[in-house]
Amino acid sequence: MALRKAGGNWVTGDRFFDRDVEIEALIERIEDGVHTLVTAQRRMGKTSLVRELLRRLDERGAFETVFVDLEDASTAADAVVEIAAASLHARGLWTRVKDWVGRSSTTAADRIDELGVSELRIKLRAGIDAGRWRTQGDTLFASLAAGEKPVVLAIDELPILVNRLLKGHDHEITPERRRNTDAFLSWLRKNGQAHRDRTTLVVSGSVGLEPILEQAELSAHANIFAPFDLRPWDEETSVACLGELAASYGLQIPERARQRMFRCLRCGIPHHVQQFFDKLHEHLRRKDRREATLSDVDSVYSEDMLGVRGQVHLEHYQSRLRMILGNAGYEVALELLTEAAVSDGKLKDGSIREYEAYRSVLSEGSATQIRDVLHVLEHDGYLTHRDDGYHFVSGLVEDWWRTRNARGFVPFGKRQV
Amino acid sequence: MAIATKSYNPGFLTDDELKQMFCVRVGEYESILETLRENTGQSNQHAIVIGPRGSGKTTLLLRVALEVRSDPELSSRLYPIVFAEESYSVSTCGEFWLECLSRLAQQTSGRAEEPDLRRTVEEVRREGNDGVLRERCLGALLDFAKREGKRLVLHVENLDMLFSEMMDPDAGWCLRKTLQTEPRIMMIGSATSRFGEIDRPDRALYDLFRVLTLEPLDRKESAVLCERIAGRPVNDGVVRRLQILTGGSPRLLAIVARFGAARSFRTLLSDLLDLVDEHTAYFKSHLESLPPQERRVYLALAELWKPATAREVADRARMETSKCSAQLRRLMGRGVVREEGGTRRRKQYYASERLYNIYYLLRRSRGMDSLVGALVQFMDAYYSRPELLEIVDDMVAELGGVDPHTRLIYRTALGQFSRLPALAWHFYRRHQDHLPSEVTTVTEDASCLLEKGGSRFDNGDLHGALSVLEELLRKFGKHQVPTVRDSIVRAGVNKGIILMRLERDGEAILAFDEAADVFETMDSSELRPVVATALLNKSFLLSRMGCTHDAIAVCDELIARFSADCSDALAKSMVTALFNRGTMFNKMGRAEDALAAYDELQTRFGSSESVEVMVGVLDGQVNKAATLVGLQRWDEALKVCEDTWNRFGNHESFRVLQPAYTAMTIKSAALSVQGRSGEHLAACEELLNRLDELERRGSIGEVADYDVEAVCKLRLATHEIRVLTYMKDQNVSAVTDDVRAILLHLPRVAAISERSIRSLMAASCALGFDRMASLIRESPSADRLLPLSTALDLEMGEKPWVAVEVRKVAEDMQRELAEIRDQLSKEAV
Repeated sequence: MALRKAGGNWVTGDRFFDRDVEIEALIERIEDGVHTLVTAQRRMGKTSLVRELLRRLDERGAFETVFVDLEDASTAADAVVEIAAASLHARGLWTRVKDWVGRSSTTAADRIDELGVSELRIKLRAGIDAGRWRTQGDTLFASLAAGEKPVVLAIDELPILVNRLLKGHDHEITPERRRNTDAFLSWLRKNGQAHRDRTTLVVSGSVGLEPILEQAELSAHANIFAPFDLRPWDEETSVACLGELAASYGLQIPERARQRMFRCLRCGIPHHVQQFFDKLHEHLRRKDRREATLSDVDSVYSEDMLGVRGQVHLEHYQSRLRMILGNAGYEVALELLTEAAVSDGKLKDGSIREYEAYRSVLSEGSATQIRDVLHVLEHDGYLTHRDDGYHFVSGLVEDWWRTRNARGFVPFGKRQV
Repeated sequence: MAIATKSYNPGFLTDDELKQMFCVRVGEYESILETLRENTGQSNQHAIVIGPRGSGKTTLLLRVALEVRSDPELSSRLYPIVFAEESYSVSTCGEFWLECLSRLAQQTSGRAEEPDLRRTVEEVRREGNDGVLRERCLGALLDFAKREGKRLVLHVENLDMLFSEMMDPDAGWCLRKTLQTEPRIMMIGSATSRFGEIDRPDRALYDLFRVLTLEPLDRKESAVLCERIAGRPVNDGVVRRLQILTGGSPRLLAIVARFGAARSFRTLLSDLLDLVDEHTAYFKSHLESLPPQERRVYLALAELWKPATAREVADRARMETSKCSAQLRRLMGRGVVREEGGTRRRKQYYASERLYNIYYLLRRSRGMDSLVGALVQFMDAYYSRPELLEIVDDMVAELGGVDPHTRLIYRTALGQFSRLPALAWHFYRRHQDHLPSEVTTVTEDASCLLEKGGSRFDNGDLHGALSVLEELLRKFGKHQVPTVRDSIVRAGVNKGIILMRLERDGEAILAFDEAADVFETMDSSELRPVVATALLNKSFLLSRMGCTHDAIAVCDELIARFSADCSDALAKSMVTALFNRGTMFNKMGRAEDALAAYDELQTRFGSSESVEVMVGVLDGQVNKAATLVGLQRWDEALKVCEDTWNRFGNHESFRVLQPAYTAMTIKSAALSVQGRSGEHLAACEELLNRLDELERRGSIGEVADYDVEAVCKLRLATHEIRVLTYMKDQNVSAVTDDVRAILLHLPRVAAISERSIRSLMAASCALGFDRMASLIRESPSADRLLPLSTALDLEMGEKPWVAVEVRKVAEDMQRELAEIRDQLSKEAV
């Protein structure tokens, strides 16, 4: 089947493009029993990668695979219920988990086959309470590990649950919430270590786990996971993806136009590539045409990708900085990125020195703070250092940042110290 | 057949009516169906349609649901569940799924084979724990999906409202989880605007939906809808005016498309009152949907009627300008206010859907003046100028025969019509009785000065003309009478042109800006070409001053400002602006942008049949071809040349033929540079034959706008390019023939081009200086080429007797000759 548009949700199989190298690398890790934390910017395709990884592992047949999504879980007990419910889909795990369900809920084991997953969840939630989740969770892990085949347990949106445990609805970290988070992560860590040879964890999420753990000073819990950095597509891959999509939808997008699309983006984040294609397709549909010109590409980029509506998809580039850096660091990051955006995408070393001088009047230790922020911006893929300064990695983010923040900004060189 | 528009709730339409009336938003409809068809894997793509009230969301979603029910392929695997337009009772995630199950139960009631979903709904309704409620409802829905072997498609209207009323902070995350992981459920939602739950990165629904934004209908779509409603073809001008009046809102278009077939003022008055009465609930609901501060600003703008600056709106709304600007930006985000016209620093805003102005004017105050005022405003927006003239003339003619009450209404209306910029001159010329005497006097005085300035300008007295126009501007600059303001704009533009001639560029730009500012307050179709000329001149001056960026920005401003007007007079200015943008980009070395500008020119005006416009478009294509040659994108360049030739090579006007022939000379040059000698020579031969034929037809008057010299230049260009190929082939006799041809035709052009001289110089390297010198002396070009023959003599070591000036030029040519010789010897190596 031809490649289709991906939109917002995850994809696998025929709709999954490229990433063979990454999947092979992950399979190698799993075979070596390495727990993995898949890290990447938002929209890089982490969930799709993990789903496709499990699909291919299922095809090979050497592992049992379980995919758990924790985005609506609020407590550690919810997480245990979700892992159990998801395990019921795995054929090889059914009998063992069924026994566990029988012990953990109020339902007799011989009646479990009659219940749907929704009903099971209800029964399990009733049977697992705040006091028992840990021991029941240990037993669940032991049941999973005792099977014929080793298990790959992929946990998606773990950071969302951790964030919720830590901050609640009022976004406040309290000692009790910190204790609960610590307890949950300790439990996961303990079981991950205890069953390392039989159960391999692959953790991912739409927000980064490390910054959340850093805020709570619980970073040590992430030590059992080896990070796996998922990188953007290069030009060749992005252009090829656009070519396949165009062919699937019967569009003519000449190679030059596809290259122009990549050069506008400058960084092949799969969702951005897909989104650009989708918007170009809609644009051509409105014009009742099948062939795209460079002028179509330019107009879609400036009016749709960077227009008021397109910009919303990029909001997280700004908002996540506040979460990672706190208010003071966020302000510095905002200034550094805006300086780069208004200076043709380049933050010169000289400008950084000017900013250090400017900030030093306002607060002590500003030079260190600026270096730390720059480190985060480079680490998280906003900026890259080359020649005599930092440059935006993504053309789309650079252009968007300029549109959003440049108005009224006073460049460092023009500020009075 | 015309379609009745009984109500603004499309939920009341039958399936057949819905199918019949659905004729716009077709792209979005196909896009949603495409998404549904492709939702076959383990995860689904969800979609949300965003558009203001009346933009067609409900109709679109209902049409999609209908298609899902009736299309065999879709109905075999999808099952639509359509929520009510407003689901007031949903405040938690559990209640959302309960509502979904209730809808399903209603839709399936009466199916004997189905378990009684109504009873299930009644049972679960009593559940107090929201988590359990959710699981049980979801379980029942998924069981249904499994039994049917279909995926459930939830059509949920007003998702923004639904989420604003949710009390459960985790509801979004619960919903997200299901939508992300459950392949049996997909959602097609709608919202009147973007909202936090989909816009904020920390919210659950962020980036989950494919967003389809319903833009205002363009002219083509408006025409389709008007015709469907009216049941007959609708004139393009009427469509355009309806589009402006309604802001391209399908619902408002449907309302007014059936209005105004009658032209009697009295009938119109009563029709307008009926129309507003009938749709008062809709108009009110639109206004009430705005938050209080935004509504205040919106109403101030509606009251002003004309496009207004933020300051003017702020004054009317009694707010600070900065706060008012913020509200205007929000209103723009909702699509109910648009920014148009004005200057970069003084932007102007107007209500996108001008029908609201009418509604508001009618509701705001009572009494005949406001009623008649609203109708006049409506008619100004609704009717074309010729139609308005006819209506006004009829009213004047009827005046004597109507009853005293109606006469009073007519007089009030005529007074208001006379103040419309579009009709002011008509009243001045034909119905002075209905104008106050001071208006007549002041119009005469201003016109008189304008004419006086014009005649001085025609006589070459630039300073005299300038002082008269300045007197006019000084004396009448503040006048508000449309006829006088017309003279002020014209005087300002003429002043700018004079200052430009006097090379007082800065002052000229100022004069053009001032004229454009006055025009802003009284946009009239007659003045638009005048102001377009001012902007073109301003752009030219900025380019001359080296401010190319600013010059391009002025062209952009012109294009944006007048793009809605399709008159021939304006099209010419638009074409020039687009063409100039391209050439300026070329000048800046921004070839890709230049190509995009020429493409835009072709896209916008390529189908025009006006010769003036066609010539501009073709010049753009010629420049595009030349730019592509410069970029060595040969195939694309050749395609542009051939397309141009194939389309216009047989046109009856020489003005169109000239760029088509030029394209062919570019083609032959491109073939020559690529070393495709055979094709190049064949192209030259064909071109020369066609030029012979053209010359023959031109000489007997068969070609319009025929220009002998231009044909001669084309001939020269062809020989000059071909001679280089013959040189490469070392075909001396052919080089000699082409040189002879060049020398024969040179006397027929007013000025010898640099390219001609350089070709002859190059040819002299191939033929020998001696031979070239004698060919020149034997030719009718001997006198005009004396510096070149002298340079050749000097190269041969002779000491010709010529004037000092000729010798100096000849010495310069010697240097150039040496360069060409070096270049040719390098190419030979």
